[in-house]
Amino acid sequence: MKGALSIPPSRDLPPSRLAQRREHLLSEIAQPPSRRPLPRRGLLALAAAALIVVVGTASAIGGVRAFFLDQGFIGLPPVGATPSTPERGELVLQWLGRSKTRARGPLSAPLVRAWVYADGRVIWSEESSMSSRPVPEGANELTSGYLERRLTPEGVELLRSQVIGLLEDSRTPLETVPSEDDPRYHFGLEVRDGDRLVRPRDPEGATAVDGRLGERWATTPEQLAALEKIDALLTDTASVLPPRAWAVRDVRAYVPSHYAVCIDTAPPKDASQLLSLLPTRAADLLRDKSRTSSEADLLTNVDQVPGHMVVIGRSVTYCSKLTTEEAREVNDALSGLDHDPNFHGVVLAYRVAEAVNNLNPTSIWFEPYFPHGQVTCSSCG
Amino acid sequence: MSADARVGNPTLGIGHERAVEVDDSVLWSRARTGDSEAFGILFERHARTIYNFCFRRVGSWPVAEDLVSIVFLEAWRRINKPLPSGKELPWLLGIATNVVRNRRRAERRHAAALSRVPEPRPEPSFSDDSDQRVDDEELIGRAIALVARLPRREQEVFVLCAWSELSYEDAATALGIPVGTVRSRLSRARARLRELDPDIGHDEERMQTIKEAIER
Repeated sequence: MKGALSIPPSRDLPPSRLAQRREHLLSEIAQPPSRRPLPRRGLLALAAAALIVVVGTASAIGGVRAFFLDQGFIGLPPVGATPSTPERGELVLQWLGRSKTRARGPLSAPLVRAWVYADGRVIWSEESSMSSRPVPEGANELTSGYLERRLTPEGVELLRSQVIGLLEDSRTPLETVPSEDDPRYHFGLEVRDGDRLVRPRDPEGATAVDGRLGERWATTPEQLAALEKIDALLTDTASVLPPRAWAVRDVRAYVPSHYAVCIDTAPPKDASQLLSLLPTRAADLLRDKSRTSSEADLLTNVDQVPGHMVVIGRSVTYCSKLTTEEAREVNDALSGLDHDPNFHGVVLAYRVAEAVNNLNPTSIWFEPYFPHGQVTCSSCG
Repeated sequence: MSADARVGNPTLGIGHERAVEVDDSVLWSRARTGDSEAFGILFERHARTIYNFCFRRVGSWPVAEDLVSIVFLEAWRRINKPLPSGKELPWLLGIATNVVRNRRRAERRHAAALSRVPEPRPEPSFSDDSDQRVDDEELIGRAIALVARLPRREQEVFVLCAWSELSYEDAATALGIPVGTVRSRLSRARARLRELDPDIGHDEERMQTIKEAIER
């Protein structure tokens, strides 16, 4: 008689079943939670979350399943959308410029902004030119909004080393990015090299501000060829990098955890004067927030001659860093204002007061913070 | 790709793969960043162990196969958990222990996912050993019936240590209890099983593992 504790030998899952189960598993975990049929427990959790939102207890949302968006958006994310994590990230690469790779014709180079972080995140947006609408995964017909994918750590290093290699091989002179540069208005390429960010040095010693990336620094055939390859690497990353470089290849909306809420006017006024122009509730919400201010020349192009700019006045911009929920409250308080057409539908912006003396009108707008702790000028370019 | 295989030379980078045995801990870290392929490798690597563990707890190969899927779906659900290096398999067995313990609830939770498992393709080798698998189920049925007479906590320790050959330390990781508790529960389980089945040890070929576990 065999002992009652006899157990059979270990067996393998039949190979085809193992493959089927693996395929099934990967397919299940690849589904965005918002599209997955919810089990009863999930529905209850969602209902509970909705109730929590209704009563305004936003802090309780942490218990809810992650809610990712597979399409970009303009302005603030839907309530409950899961912010991108981690909140802070070290910038490895950034690109802001018109992309030849993404162009569908000689006049259709779309404006692409892309940031790559050491934690693997690739955040980007693509803004259509007139002849390249609509943009893929578009938040609207003009812009994709800010989107996100994730590289593996090896994928980040592969991308970074390729870009550095192309610049070095083409003998492109590089310079350290000055820390005092205003990142909002930088167009071009920056890449991490050790503990510093470097960028191609403009041969004329000036920063290219017209968005035509590379036209100033890529002067030799080798440099132009390098520029085209870098353009492809950074603006068509999903096609160029091998599958193993990707941790999450599916596109998600980039959901920031903070926004810069900015108000500007010309000629300059102090902050309290500007806040008094806002609806009372919005002014109250912003009054006690710390803010930065920056004054700038207002330029205009004379007789449409490229590069022939003259100063016609001064403007001031005040920005406060708010959490997404605080920004949402401010936005709600601004609901009586008209959207500002000067922001071209790519930024959530309201017109506060009309222009004085043919200078700029007074506007308030919302810019997302990126993981490297900066905002960009989404309507520039 | 491991850190050793990191590509630094741009001319060699794209499409250049190396066959590198990557540690479970590296795969787990990658899976935590959303790398589903890394999770797929973990699945391939440990499905067999989980499959056999589940079979020895429920006594049915088809049910064990579904439980393997549930265990890995549960593991993905908890993918944000940082694990001590090298403890990935014990942790998976811990999930499997919980899944078996709360099997009905786990099956309900993942019913929709299980409904999407494709129908089995014809499997010649599988049909060849189908008789053997029926025998397996009869054999394990008797063993489960005996082990079921132990308190649940002792059952879990016994099955992990004796039938899945986990070390005390790994069993402690799997169950989230101190190593000393594993030792004492296993000791009590051995003593009870000797009382319950005086014939333990008669089937030398198949009982080796069990004997060792009981006599350790």
